Order: sequence, then structure tokens, then C-alpha cells
Amino acid sequence: MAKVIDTDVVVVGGGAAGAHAALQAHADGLNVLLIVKGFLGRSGCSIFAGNLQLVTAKSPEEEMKWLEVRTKYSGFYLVDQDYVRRANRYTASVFYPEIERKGLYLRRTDTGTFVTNQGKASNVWAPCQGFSGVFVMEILRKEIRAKRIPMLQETMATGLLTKDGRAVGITALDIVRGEFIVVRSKAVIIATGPSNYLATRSTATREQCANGFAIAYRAGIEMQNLEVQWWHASDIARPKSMMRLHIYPNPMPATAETVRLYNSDREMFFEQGMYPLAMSPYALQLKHLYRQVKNGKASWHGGFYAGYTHMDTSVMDRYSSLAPSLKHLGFDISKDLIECGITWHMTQGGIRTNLETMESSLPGLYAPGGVGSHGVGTLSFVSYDGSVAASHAGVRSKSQSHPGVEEAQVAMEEQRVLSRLKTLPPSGVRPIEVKRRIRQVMWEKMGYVKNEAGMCAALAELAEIRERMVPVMGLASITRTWNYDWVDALDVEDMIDICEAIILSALARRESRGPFFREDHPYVDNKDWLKHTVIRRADHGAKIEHVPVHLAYIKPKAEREDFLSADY
Amino acid sequence: MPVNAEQVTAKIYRYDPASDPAPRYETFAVPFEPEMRVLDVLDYVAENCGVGVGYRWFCGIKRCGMCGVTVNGKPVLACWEKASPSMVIEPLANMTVIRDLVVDRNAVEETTLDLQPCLERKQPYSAFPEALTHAEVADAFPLMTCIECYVCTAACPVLADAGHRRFAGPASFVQLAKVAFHPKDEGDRVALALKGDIFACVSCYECSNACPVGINVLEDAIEKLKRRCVAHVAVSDRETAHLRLFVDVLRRFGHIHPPTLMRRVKGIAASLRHAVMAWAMYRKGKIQIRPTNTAGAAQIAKLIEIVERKK
Amino acid sequence: MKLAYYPGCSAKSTCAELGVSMAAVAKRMGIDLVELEVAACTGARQLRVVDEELFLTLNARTLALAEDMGLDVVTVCATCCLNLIEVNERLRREDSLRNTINRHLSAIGLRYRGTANVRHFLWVLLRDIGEGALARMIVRPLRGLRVAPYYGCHILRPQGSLGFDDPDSPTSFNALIRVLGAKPVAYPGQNRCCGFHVLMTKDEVATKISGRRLMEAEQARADCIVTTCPLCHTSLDPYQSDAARTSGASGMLPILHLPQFLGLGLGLDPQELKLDKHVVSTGPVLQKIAL
Repeated sequence: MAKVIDTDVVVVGGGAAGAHAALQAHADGLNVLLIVKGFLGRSGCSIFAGNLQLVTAKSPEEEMKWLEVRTKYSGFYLVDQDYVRRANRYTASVFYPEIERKGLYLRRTDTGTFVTNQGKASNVWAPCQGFSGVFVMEILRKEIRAKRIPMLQETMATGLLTKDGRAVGITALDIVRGEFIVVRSKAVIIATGPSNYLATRSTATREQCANGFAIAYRAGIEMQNLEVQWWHASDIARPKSMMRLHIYPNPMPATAETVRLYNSDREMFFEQGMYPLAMSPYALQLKHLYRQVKNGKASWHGGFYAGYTHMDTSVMDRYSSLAPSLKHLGFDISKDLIECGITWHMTQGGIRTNLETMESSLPGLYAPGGVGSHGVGTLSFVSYDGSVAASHAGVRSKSQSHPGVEEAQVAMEEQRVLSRLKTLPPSGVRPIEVKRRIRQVMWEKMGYVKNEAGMCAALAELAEIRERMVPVMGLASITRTWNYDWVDALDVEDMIDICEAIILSALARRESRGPFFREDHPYVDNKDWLKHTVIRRADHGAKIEHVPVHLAYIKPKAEREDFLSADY
Repeated sequence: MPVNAEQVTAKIYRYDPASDPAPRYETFAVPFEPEMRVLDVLDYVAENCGVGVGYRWFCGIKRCGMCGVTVNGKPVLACWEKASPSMVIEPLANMTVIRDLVVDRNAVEETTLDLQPCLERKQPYSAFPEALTHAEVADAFPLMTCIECYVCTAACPVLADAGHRRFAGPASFVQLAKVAFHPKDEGDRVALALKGDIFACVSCYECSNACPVGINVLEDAIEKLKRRCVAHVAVSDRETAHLRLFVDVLRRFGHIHPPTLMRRVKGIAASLRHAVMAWAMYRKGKIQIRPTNTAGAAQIAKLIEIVERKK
Repeated sequence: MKLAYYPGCSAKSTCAELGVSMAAVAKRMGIDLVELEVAACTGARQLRVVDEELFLTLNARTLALAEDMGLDVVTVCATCCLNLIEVNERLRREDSLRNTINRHLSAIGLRYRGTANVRHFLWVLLRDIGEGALARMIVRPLRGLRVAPYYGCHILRPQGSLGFDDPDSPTSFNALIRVLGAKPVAYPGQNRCCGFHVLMTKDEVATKISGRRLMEAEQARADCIVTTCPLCHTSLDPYQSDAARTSGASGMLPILHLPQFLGLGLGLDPQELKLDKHVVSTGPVLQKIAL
């Protein structure tokens, strides 16, 4: 018998969006349950927010500057500019004052001014570069725990419960006890983040396997721009377990210098200073790296380097958490270059939402933060989203009664989850091996450089994994106690579903833009492709539509540009 | 150093309380790779050796703080610790095992929460950014990079050897100290430190030594909290009396004369309870009725007076 | 070799036998020890908590006394060693603090300059004298004796300040034991705490910790523990019956001070080393080496 929990609002996800949603719902007097696959503020992407951007919104000029930073360099004109404006204002007037009031310390000098990137006063760090997200999340975690907001950690949401065309709850698996849980709620907030561990090298944490996407996608909810996949160009090459150690290309503390990238001949080919307004120059790094790879002077998994050797590295010792990490790995950053590889980072797309409410195409299901399709990769923005989602979910919860759940739906999901708790058959495969194979396919054929043939091959390989490997998948042990094999098995299904949707979306976009690069369509087409790719599961496969992007304030200058020379 | 080693031997603790009568160990040979971490070894075993070893991790780069294990007797973060040719890998001490290397972290987290580690303002927050200099946060700053991995608490002998559960443990004290030393905090941190029985700390530096982010837990968190307790607690307080009496004895003799200190700390009655031992020590010449080494006492007393008068 | 000798309070009181044996051993080895007779207590772990400035001042005075003699300092107490090293490091590093402390010291006609180094006796033996020279001095190899080296805490941690040995797997003391012809036994507690610093206030905590150390050494079939610090010795010797009760240890494990152990190898008489001045009899050790 499943354990049943009734609540007004259930929040899935323990990052900044989920934490803010839970705090807002609690403040609004609702019963809220927070479900986290890992641990609140410890797993997921928010802890990776190494830099914070000191957004100001005091004058119309400042507002426009920040709108451009977000829209062009982090959004590639695919983001909703009214949303960006609202989130920027929230950042300046709510996010920073609130989190500082709660104890966040933004690094200052002995005279009390912020340590920033020299002269530009835009990036700040709490309390040092590379650590800001950890500190923010620690404060939010303590507050949530101190307020005794109900929470289930190490609990994986597996499916969405729907009735009469609305979300009425979720199902989940308690990983510690191996118990199936049914949560009946008047609103569901999915805040499982932007990154997923879907390729061999990825910045996503262990547990991030597209479960939030998959739950929505399987329920027929509209997804948007899944193909717009960010990559990090400068994460360390080895050891494998440390591939998430990111050499920030962004403006740096207390210096006008930024990190430089070098090819295998030790020739410098990139630094952020080449694009002063691109404060998160990830898409631009990749374009430059691509040329090096083409010339045989780098590869995607190594053979190129990041370096601080051109600058006074004492700022790193003073203001960056990277310095001790690199030292620990044996690098003397004043002399040594650090070998890097690229990593699959956040997906700009996700669940398509109404950005006034964060509600998805399914009433009662909200998708704030990175799991939504409007992401620009900013901690304060996802915090805004969480608060907005909870406010609207709260209004909904207060005005409606719970219609009950469909028992058949629950039974079917329970059967699906339990069916994965199955002993490894002879010549079978363990789910961790299937995951590794999926990641390998995505890494090899859905990397930064894409083309139609490669993507079709990836689809075929995923189909083969689904048909050949999944049926013979089994676990090393069928204990119910903290059995991560079981979790892996559930992840496999979610990963395949979402990887297929990503590939289908990518095949449908016949241009290149920002981090999305199709070698067979190497131009930015602002005339025909300022469009969202909207995909949803249909009876036989997927249905894709393209919806025009509304450009409220800022428009790209050129109708069509060569992708590699476009400056965003 | 495993520079030339071709393989790593990992003897891993296995225990499923639901089905195993007792913990057991399984040994695996793992091909060595340059820069390999303990986490890479565990990943290799999980992916290639056909066993579902339970081990927890999320980030791999010392931010989530969740991959703590004991390697050859020392608590470490698996992502941070370099793999060595021969390793015994066990769960963190001082926490209950859920399965294999996965421990229940809840008790430590609850202990931390008992110390109310949220900033407590009594003055209203003004506006962003509030006036604050780096010098003002000098004491709190070194503690801000704590990732609450609990490796220090796993290393603590007050918990491990003495099983003294009233002691909050180093990880929780770091969180208390971090807010206590924030210049805007006005919570009653002394009461909370005493609630965590901070004077049971034995000053062994195991916590400082174990900390993967390099926090000197003993000096920068625990002893600074103790110092605050001494400064703010009534002279009659039992917990801090010993410290004051120590200085009294020092002032008087320039040295510590253990019998005097003992008598004053414990009182005559309690000291008598140790009479058997005291007699044995006296017989062996270990107790001098009067201190013998007081040659510098006058100068020492003068310095004490100068420093104390300054305050 | 001439060194300023800081015995600490214990070697003059609860562990008087340590002071006596140290003097005897130094004499035999030709080490000229000039005792800092007027030095103050280094403050154990208490003074730095009660009054940090006083802690710095009193230890700066001790260091200044040695500086005036132009000598480095040697100590037989691990906690004192750490205190003196930490104060030395801090005052060498922080100019304004050094000036403040020197203002205090000027009242008694002293000045701290930071010219004297501080070492533990164990480090003098291994670093200044060396294994080879030591081996030549050994006239009575302690063959067959199983010795549990007790490093304890404060000569290993904090590593940054000390840096003589690896705090996680120290080897120096083991090397010395081998030089004496004895066998160092491996036991998990060699570099862990003895509980001394709460012995007077929370003896139930302290004795459980020291009880564990005794048990670990006995399980490794040690004939004795040799300590590098009189505070550890106090936890393990006079308090041994209380400690043993917490862990089921025998309560009969001899605990030797480092100079006593060394003295046996140098051929000194057990009487000269005051091996009869322990609460737990050292007889079994002497028997084992046929004395």
C-alpha cells in the first residue's frame, strides 16, 4: 500500500526556485511539501552559481543595459523581454536585500565597497568566486528547516497525477526506504532545474536525469526550445569525477583581466574581454573553440587549456574558491595552464510556461526556474520564478477543492516503479551501464556541433537502447533500502524520453543560434527562425510546432548572420 | 604515492541492515588513472564490478559536501581525496549507516538546527547594500566556505571515543560561530554554545585537520566561541569557572600548581573523591604540597596586571 | 649542542619524573640544557581562551628569555611546544601585534624579536641529532620490547604550524623506536586524543577517550605506551584505573615518558630515570628487557 500525503502545494526540487517556492507558499499560509531527489540546496544546479550579477534598475538606461545583457548574450533573443525586465527588477529590489538581510555576505573591501570586476561593478561574489550559490542555498536551507516546512529528501518524483485536465498530485519513490508515495495536492510546482546529466561530460549533478522534464512530457505538457543546449567550454579535463570544476570565463574579482583559453600550441584564442557586454560568454567561447578543433589544435574533451598566467594570480588566492582546488590538483596557476574539455550544461528550454504565472500548458502544474523554457541561467531569476509560481499556485489552492486522484493512474504508476525493482537477468545489463551508453550517444552525436545525419543516427541508437538494452535491465540487488540501482533504472526511461525529444526539437530548428550550432545550417536566421520550438507528446510520437518570439524592446540588427561571426 | 601503481585495491564496507546480519567487506581491484579520486574508484566499482554499492555524491567538486567516507581510518570527502594504492573505504563515523557507505545525516543536521544557525537581527535591516566592511566580518569570513560535509564531526573523539552526545560537535559549532560572528547578529549565542556543551571540546585539532575546505575549526570557530562564553558568562558559571581559576593560579604562582587548581576547580569534597589516586600520586612524588618553581612569579604577575589593566 | 630548555609545569609537578629523566638523558647525550627557570606556564588550552593577549604576552616573554641567551628552545611537552610555536609564528607575522606585546614586555625589560626557534625533544633527536648518531649512542638495545608510540595531538596538529610529521600517518616516533632496537606496534589511536584538556572538568569524557587509547594499545599487544607529552602521560598513567574501567582495558599498561624510554637504551639506570615513580608499575617493561 502506498503512503498517501495530502497537501495544498507540492514543490519538487531543492534548488533556489524550489526553495523560494516553498518559502513563499509557507508565507502565504499554505500547506506545502517539498520533495527533493537529492538534498535541499546540496544537489542540483543552484550550488554551481559561482558568480552573482549586481543588477541595478535605478534608471531606464541601466534597465536597458541589463535587458540587453540578458536578452542578447544569455537569451539569444529567445527570451521574453518583459519577463527579463520583471526579473531584473526583482533581482535589484527583492533578491539582494532579502538574502543579505538573511546573512549573505557579498565580498567587500576593508572600506566597505564591493569587490567587483574592476571598474565595471557588475559581478559580485559571496563570499568568493565559485561559492556564491552554495552560500545562498545554505541560507535558504536553514530557513526552510528552521520553519519546519515539511520536506522529503532523497525522494524521487516519478509521475504526475492528473484529473479532468488539471494536475492533482505526484507520485514519488522514497529512496531511503524504498517506499512508493502518493502526494495529493491542489497544485504541483516542478522546479527540477535546467541541467541534466545526459551526456558523458555534464555539469549536472548525479541525480539530475531529466526527471522533471520527463514527468511533464509524459503527461502531454508542452515543452519548448529543448534543443537550445548550453555548453561550458572550460571545465577541467580530468579527473573524470571533477569534470564539473569550472574555469569561469566571466569577469573576475578585483581585476580587469579574465581567464584566457589556449589551443594545443599554447596560442591564446579567447578571453571575455573580447566581448565586454557578454558577462557569461559561453556561446562565444564555443565558437572560438570550434575553429581550433577544426584546425586540429583542440578536441572537445581536451587538448586545449585555460590559464591565468598573464595576470597577477594573487586575486585568485584572495577572491576565488578555484585557487585552492587547482592547487590541490597540482596546478601552479601562475605558471601552469589547465587542460579543459567541454561539458553539457543547462538547457535553455524546458517546460513551456505562461511567464506571468509560471503555469504550464496543464492547469495546476507550474514550472519555475531552470526546468522552465525561459532560462537565462541566473540564480536571482529562478528565485523570482519560484516566488511567482507559489503565489499563483496558492491562489489556485485557496480557490479550489481537491478533486481526488484517479486510482487507476496511481496503480499503473506504482506498478511501473515497482517493476523496475528486478534482479539482473543472465546476460542482462545494469541501469548504470544503460545510462552510460545513453550519455555516450548524446556526447558523440548530440555534442556542440550537430548535423542532420548525426542526429538521425542518435535517434536510431536511442531506439536500439530502448529495444535491446532496457528489456534486459536488472539490478545488482533488489533491496529497497537506498538502492541507487533502482533509481538509475527509473532514470533510464526518463533520459531516453527526453533525449529523443531534444533530438527531435534540434532536427526541427534549421538554423544556428547562441549555443545551438547546426553545421548544416551555419547561420543565425532572425527572419524565419526567431521562433520557439514547441514539442509535446502525441499519440504516435511527438508533435512539433514553431511559435514566433515576441520581441518587446530589443531586436537583432541583422536578419541573417554567419553563425560563427555573430557576436552572441 | 600511486604515481606508478597500475591498480588500486579498494576494500569496501558493505552493510544492508534490512538483510545483512553484520557488516562485511568486499575487495575490488580498480585500474589506476592519473589524478584519480576516491570517488572515481567508487564510480568504477559501481559501474563495472556488478555490485550496487551504496555511496552518496552529487557534485564531485567539494560543493555539495555529501560524499564523506572514511578512508584508511580518516574521514574525507571522496571527491577530494586522492586515491591511494590500498584503501579501506568505510562510512563516516558518528552517524548511523543507512546502507553501505550511506549514512543518516539527519541527527547532525538537527543538532545544528538546535543551535539556531540563522542570522538573528534585532535592528531592522536598512537597505541593500548595508554598511559593512570586510574587516568587520573578519571572524565570520573564514567559516563562510563551510559546506557542512560533517567530516569534522566524524573525526571528533568527544563523539567517537567518549560517545558524549550532548556535545554538538564541530560541524554544528562552525554553523553557530558563523552567525555568531556576523556583525549584525544579536542572537544569544553564548547560551547556545553552552547548550551544545562546547567546553567538552578536547582541543585535539582533529576537526581542523579533517576539514576538506581548510577551516581551522578548533581555533576559528570553537575556541572563539569559548572565548565569547568566558567574556559574557557570569563569573559564577560552572562551565567557565575552570578557565578563570586557571588564570588565578597562574597569577599567583606563575605556573600551574595542579593540586591548587584541582582543589579550586573541583572543591574539597570532589577532590576527596579522588583521594585514592591523589595518595598514589603523592607517594610517587607527583604531588607537591607547595609549588617549587615560582622563580618568575613576580615578573609574571606584573605582566598579568599590565595586560589586565589595559582592559 | 646547547638549547634553552622549557620543561613546562607538569615536568616540575605531576610528572616530576619526566624532568629528572630528561636532565639525565641530556647529560648522557652531551646536550647542554639551560633551563628557563623563570618562564611562565604556556597556558595549556585555557589561557588563550580566557585572555588571548595575555597568552601571547607570557609566551613572548618565554621566547624573549631564550632569545637573550641566543638559544633555540626545546620542550618535552607537546601542548607547550604548540603554544610557543604558534605565538612565535603569529608575532613574527603580525607587526602591530608584536609591537603591542613588546610594549608590555618593556615593563620588565624584555623584548621579543622572533629569533629563537622552538622544537619538541623528539624533533631534536631525529632532526638535529639524527638516526645514525643516535644509533651509535645506544648501548642497551631494547630487543623484543613492543612499544606503542603515542604521538597524541599537539606535535602533529595543526599541521601548518608544525609540519614535522604527517598528522594522518606519522612515522618519526616509530623510527626512533626502531633505532632503540624495540618494535613499534601499530594501533589506531597513536595520533588521536588522550582527553587531557577536559580531564579536570569533564573527567567522564576524558577517561572514555583515554580508555579507548589504552584498549587499542593492549589489543596491539604493546608492552607499554611511550608518550611525548606529560599531559598525555597524566591521562594514561595516574588516571589509568579510571580510564581502563571505561573500556575494559587491564589497567596495568606501563606508560613511559620519551626521555625515560630513550634513557633505557642509553644504558641509564631505571632509578636515574625515575621509572619507579609511576602509578602504574613499569616493572613488566624492565622485566622484558631483563633489568
